[in-house]
Amino acid sequence: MSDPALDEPLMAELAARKGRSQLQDAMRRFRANPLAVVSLIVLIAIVLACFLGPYFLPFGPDDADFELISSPPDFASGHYFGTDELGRDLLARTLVGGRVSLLIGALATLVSLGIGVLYGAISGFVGKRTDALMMRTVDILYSMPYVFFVIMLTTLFERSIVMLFIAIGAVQWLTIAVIVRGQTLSLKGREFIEAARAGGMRDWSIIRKHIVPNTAGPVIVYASLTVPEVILGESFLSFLGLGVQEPDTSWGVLLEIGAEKMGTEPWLLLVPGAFLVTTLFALNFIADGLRDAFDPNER
Amino acid sequence: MLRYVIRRCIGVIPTMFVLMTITFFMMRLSPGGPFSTNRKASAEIIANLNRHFHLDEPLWQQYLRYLWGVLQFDFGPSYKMRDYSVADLLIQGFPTSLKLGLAAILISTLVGVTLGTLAALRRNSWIDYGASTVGLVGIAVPNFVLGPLWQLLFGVMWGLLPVAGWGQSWTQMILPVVSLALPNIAYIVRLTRGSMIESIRSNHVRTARAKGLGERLAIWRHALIGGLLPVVAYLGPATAGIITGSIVVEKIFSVPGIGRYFVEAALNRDYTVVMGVTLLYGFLIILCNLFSDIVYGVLDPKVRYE
Repeated sequence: MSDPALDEPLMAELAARKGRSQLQDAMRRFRANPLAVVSLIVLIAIVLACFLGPYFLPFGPDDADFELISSPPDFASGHYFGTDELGRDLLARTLVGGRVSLLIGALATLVSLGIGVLYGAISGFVGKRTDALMMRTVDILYSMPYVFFVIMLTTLFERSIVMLFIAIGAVQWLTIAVIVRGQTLSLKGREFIEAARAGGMRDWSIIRKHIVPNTAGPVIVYASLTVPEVILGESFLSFLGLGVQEPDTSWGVLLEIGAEKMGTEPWLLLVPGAFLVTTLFALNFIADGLRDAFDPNER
Repeated sequence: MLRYVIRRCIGVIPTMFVLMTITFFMMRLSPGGPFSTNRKASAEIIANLNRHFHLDEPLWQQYLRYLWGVLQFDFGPSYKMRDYSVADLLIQGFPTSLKLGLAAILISTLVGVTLGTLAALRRNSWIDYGASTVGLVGIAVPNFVLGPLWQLLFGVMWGLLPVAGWGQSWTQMILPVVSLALPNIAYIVRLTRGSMIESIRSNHVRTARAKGLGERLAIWRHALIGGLLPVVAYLGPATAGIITGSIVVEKIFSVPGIGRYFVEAALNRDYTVVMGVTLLYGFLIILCNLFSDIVYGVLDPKVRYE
């Protein structure tokens, strides 16, 4: 027997409570994670500094100050982080280099997401032999030494910055494809897909409107892991002299110069290194936070 | 089991074939050729060189010629290093790279598993925090930042270890091996800690304890096998990581391995050298993946071979 006094407020509350999407839930959990939130603030600060900071500096990234060549960090001269062997302000160069590194991180991740999500969704949704063939291809590509591909792709495209992120993105999509395929397989049997089909929706529309949006959680988590990986990849290539070329610069390029000169001018290594490492730390903490937020059982 | 192993071994062949084909055509599609940067040579000389190395033939013919060579383990001559064949270069540089890579894998496994296990056994102790710090630093700080930093600290400032070089003394190995091992230590620490925490709590370990087995034996004999499974599975990617890292580390510490040839060769369009290194390293990675899958299967009775 139900007690009306107990049930009424409960029912009222249930009625008043709005439904929350998985995304909103995850964001609420993310905000409750102090490390992740602080990292996000740090990351935003670095992004703002890189993209807006250079406009407020008295020195451009290519302005040579012949009076102060290879000068150590010095507040009096206004070169807070010193200058390089051409008298260029290191802070300006690091910030402008950061633009390239961050842009490549974001764009290459988008490229890999685009390819990976589509590939995985199609493979999982179409199924049967198409799926087997597509996944076998991924298996083979997985076992390839991917650095070698990126290096070859960069020579193929004559090392332009735009092609660089396409090249990195083009080899980073495999894991996303596998994750999305798994999700698609489990979504495929659900009622709402069946309903969509019964309502006369085409396969392609179902993939776009129902499958892809429902894989958002894992895709966001994996994408947040991909960004630092890509930034690392770009720096790696630029460090080897295969990525961004002077006079354009990136953190990898600056690090390479810094590594050569670290015996006499250690700030050339330490400043861009600190920026890169801080960014990577922040991105890793954010990724951890997102993973916990989307997958609370995994903690 | 045996059938599975044989099938997987046979599977290596098509993978290598695809790898070779993709590499071959990607390399040939890139602009320029091995002799196009040589300004001194006249057009006739370049034409002669191209004819000598069969670079004037149609692409498919070159491809078949290369394929035929590879089947006989002939990887062709280097176009840039006169009088050297690709095999010569690989034989010269590979032992060094192998030594560096094996030392790094060995150390990262030993240190990573030990740290990870201790961290799992003593959660929230200083050793646990230390292990998480290593796990974070190793993953977030790339070895091309750490490598030069080690050089600066241990070589230049404190003068404890040689800054660079290879082969004169074993102390020269320390910095490159540590730089190469650290990212892998980081991953292995994370993996081991996570899976050991689960493994210690699992039913079969509790049973072992309940039957009166000492804590030490329960951990060594029972928990560790389950706890190490993810580490075994990680062996394949670890090899790939070590190979990638060795390209940078060899550059930083001037180690005469094959990683350095590769970058130079790719820039110079030294097709055959690029192909040779890619095939060798691709083969190694495929082999390690295979090995780790098989060991995983032996350790984990839940794995079924369909």
